[in-house]
Amino acid sequence: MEISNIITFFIVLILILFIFVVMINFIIPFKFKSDFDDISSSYHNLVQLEGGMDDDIRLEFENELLNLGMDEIVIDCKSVDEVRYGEKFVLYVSAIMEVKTPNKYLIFEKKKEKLEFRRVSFSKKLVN
Amino acid sequence: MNNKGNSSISAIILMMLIMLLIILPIVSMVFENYYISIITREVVDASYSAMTSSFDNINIGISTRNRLSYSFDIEENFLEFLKINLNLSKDFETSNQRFKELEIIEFTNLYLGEADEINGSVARRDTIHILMRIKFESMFLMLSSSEERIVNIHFDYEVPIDN
Repeated sequence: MEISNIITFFIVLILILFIFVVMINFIIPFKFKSDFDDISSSYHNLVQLEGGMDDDIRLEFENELLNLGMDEIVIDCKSVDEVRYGEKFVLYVSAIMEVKTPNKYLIFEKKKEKLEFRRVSFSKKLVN
Repeated sequence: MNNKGNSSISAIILMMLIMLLIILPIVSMVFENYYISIITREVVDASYSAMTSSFDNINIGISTRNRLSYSFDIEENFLEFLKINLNLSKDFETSNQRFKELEIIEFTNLYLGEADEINGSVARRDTIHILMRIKFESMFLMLSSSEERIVNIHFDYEVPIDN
């Protein structure tokens, strides 16, 4: 095999790898957002049926987000005792994720991005 | 040697052209569609949630006697809750640029007293039909002729009345 062919092969390989890495790093933040929305949505349904958020659900929810790699998690929701049947309440969740993304010069840098989830609910559980 | 050198350079140029004109556009299109699907799913989830909350917020037991009167309440509630769920301004503008524009095209009650067939399925009870349009700014312009991508979201939601 000639040297020029080997060099050509490696240049092409490096270019393909570079494109692949850039694309994966563009997609990762959206994958995080999708997972964050899925988890938050499932807990929103639970909170709606329970008529508020108790400490166990809060802890479980927080742990799931921590396992996903989120930081500075804020979960704001009224507790079960505070919400009456049919009363409106809002579940607000925010978390910070840190990802390495390429900037416009295609240099990778760490970036913090805030994810938010907000849903209005009406309590469906008769508790008081 | 000169011929071999020329053939290597032409091979590299050819590969780069293939990447620029074929691989990059395809990967970008896949990426753009993935992004649009995530945002669309978020809007659909927020809409269902807003719709469920809208029905919880009105007294359906009283309102069912006069169908037209509660349609208005549901639409008002739905829009209010959708704005909260998606963190939109009064004019449906987004604060974090997820999409360019969101508009409600249709919001109607499909059932008008008799069983009605709509698109192959029969509405036997009050069913709210919603058609929304989301406009995205096109990230990759080389393959698309327009500067924006439009996604239509349609769903029919049966009013949960126990009759």
